[in-house]
Amino acid sequence: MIWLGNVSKSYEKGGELAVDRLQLQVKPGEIFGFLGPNGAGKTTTIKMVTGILRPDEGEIEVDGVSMVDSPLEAKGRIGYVPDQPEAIMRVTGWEYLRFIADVYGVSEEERKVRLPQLLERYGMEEAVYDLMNGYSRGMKQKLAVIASLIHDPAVWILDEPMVGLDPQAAMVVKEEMKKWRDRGKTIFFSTHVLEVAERLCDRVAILQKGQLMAVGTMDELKQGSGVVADEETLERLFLELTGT
Amino acid sequence: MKKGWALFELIVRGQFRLSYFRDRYQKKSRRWEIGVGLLGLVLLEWFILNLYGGAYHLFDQIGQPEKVFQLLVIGGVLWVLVTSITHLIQQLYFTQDAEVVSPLPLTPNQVVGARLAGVWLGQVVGMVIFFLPGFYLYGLNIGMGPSYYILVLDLLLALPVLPIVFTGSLVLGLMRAIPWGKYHHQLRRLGPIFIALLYVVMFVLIQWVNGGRGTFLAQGMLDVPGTIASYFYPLHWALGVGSSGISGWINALFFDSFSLCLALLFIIIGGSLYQKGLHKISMDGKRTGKPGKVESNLKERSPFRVLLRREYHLLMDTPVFVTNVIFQFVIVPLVFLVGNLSEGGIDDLSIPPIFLHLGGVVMILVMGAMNDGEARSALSREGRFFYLSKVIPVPWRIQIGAKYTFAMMILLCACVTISLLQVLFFGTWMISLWTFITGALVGSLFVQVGLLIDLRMPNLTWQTPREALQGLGRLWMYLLLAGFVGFVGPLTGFLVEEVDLPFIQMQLIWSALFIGLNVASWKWLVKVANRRYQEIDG
Repeated sequence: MIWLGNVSKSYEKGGELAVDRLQLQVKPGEIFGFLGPNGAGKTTTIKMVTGILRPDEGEIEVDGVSMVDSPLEAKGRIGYVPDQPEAIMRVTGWEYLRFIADVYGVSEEERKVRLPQLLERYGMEEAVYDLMNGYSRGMKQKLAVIASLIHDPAVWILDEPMVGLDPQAAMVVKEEMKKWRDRGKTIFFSTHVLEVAERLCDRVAILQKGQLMAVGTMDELKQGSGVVADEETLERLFLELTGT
Repeated sequence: MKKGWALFELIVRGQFRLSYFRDRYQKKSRRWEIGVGLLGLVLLEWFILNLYGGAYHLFDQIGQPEKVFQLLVIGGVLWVLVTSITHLIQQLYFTQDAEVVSPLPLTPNQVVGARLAGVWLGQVVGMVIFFLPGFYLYGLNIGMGPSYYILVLDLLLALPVLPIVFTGSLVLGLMRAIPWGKYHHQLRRLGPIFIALLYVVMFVLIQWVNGGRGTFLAQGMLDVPGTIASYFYPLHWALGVGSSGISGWINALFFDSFSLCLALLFIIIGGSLYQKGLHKISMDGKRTGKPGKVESNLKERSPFRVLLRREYHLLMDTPVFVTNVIFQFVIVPLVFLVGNLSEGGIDDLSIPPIFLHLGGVVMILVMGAMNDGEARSALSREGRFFYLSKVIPVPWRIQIGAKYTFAMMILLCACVTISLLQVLFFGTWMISLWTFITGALVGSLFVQVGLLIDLRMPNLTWQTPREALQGLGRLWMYLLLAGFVGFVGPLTGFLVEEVDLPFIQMQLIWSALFIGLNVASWKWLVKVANRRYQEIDG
């Protein structure tokens, strides 16, 4: 479960709010899509939920643990796929995964079971022994996905996960999300691909200028807004709500 | 502890490129590079040993050989103090993995501890290469017992802690105090200037310590260790490690305990400072655009001007690149200035004009060639964005022309600096003018050589800016070619002098020769650029 209570964030003291009193709850066993145009505050929100940024105001809880008061415990329950899987590049994929497993305290037995499965699923059995700086963006993304799942997190957060993935890998990620939802986990992801959100998400939220414009299931959104007919797609709804 | 260790291990692997080297040298065809590297190391150690041998002899002559140990200790502290600054800033301020590490369940203390340990290990390696030979040579000359050699190893482990904690505190303090989100980019540019100024201060201090007015070098340095240690008592323990008998062990115990406590204290306090500073950095670069600027930015500009401006940003927006350029304009003139002042001026020296002139030209060339060379990394600095140069519809000739012009603008600054220094110290306007002209002409050849090297073997896949400037092969090729260009000129000058021509006529012939060479090499450069821009994979 993810809970945000009146969370606000500004990048400059007294400046414009990047996230404005955001109130949101993502339940266990659901895939939650986070939509919005560029600069809407999606990544800022995700950075606050994952503990990279500290909110100016409000509370954030991950799986019932406060990110503000107990960041370490809360972070341990999250698997995070960043939007730009760059960074620690001078090591092999295997060394990176080993580092992540160490940091999350994954036991040897768990590693033996999970790692081969994940590597096989994403076709990284051989590439994992290569240096990461030789990886394509898609491979880095795959490795970031694998790294985020090693410790079997209760909450899986993905920032633009489909960018850079080939269709096959994208399908694997989508299937993975469904599988994790079926296991009662919480999946929270941002995307620009509206079709993906429409087909995959149990609920979506639309953010505009840091404010929550709409939240609910697809049906709820279509009925609740009162401006979009039933047959309209999410794209139309998105454009209506964000005024783009 | 285990989690912090995992991060430390990863940092060390990245820092020393262990995985990269293992991957590279799995192929047998490349193993010769290891041999060359080891040979280079042996030569370096031989050179260092000779240097220390000379220093020991010097102090032995004035009857104070024990001062060598003390100077090595203080030298080690100062070495770490200066060299760890950039490493710490890179690890804490500009680290690229901050957003990977932040969401992990690691305490700020673990992160600071792991990063600090990475810097410490790097410094220990540096100390082993540059200082261990000196300590051991001293021990052999003095005839120290076996325990001395063990204590020295222990000292090399403990010695970097104190200066690292000092510089680390400075860096963390800055990180916490300054509103990075707003001034990050400006500070990135000021950073290298600060570091260069630090070197200047150190250089002036060393000159001051020397007596500065002809005092014998070693005599002037005798009191330095004691003076520095008197301001910071724990250094007395480090200096005492060189004592014979039980005293050395007791001093080592005190110094180790002190260093360990200091490191732990820093990690405990530094954790919270680091975390707060990191939040500020994460907010960098957001919403800095100013409304109303759009119209003024719509004016049409020539591609050449735009590319010249891009060269400026490629250089100025990356601290490592700026540092290299600033060094050319600070260190060399400083050596010239302080060196001459400490000798009591050179007004009374009667230097023939040709030597004065050649000296100036050589100084310009040194300024142009030292460190990593602006031109030699002109393409490499573009890194993975080199593809942009391939897709924009601007002829390669103009692109390479912009790079050449920008490098020449920097070199001309060097010419002006040296010429002005000549006027200042010798009052010779005419010679200075010719120094400027010849320096610019020869420097232009240097710039073109640098560009040719980078066109031949660009490094576009760097992960950190420092890597863009590295490359042993490129450096050797550059030095060989630059050496050739740099010596043909003076040699010609001497030949012309042999035929006993007046100074002005000689300069005119010389300039005509270099103008010709410049025209020919420019044509060659454009030809190579036209070919290589197409061949290089962006």
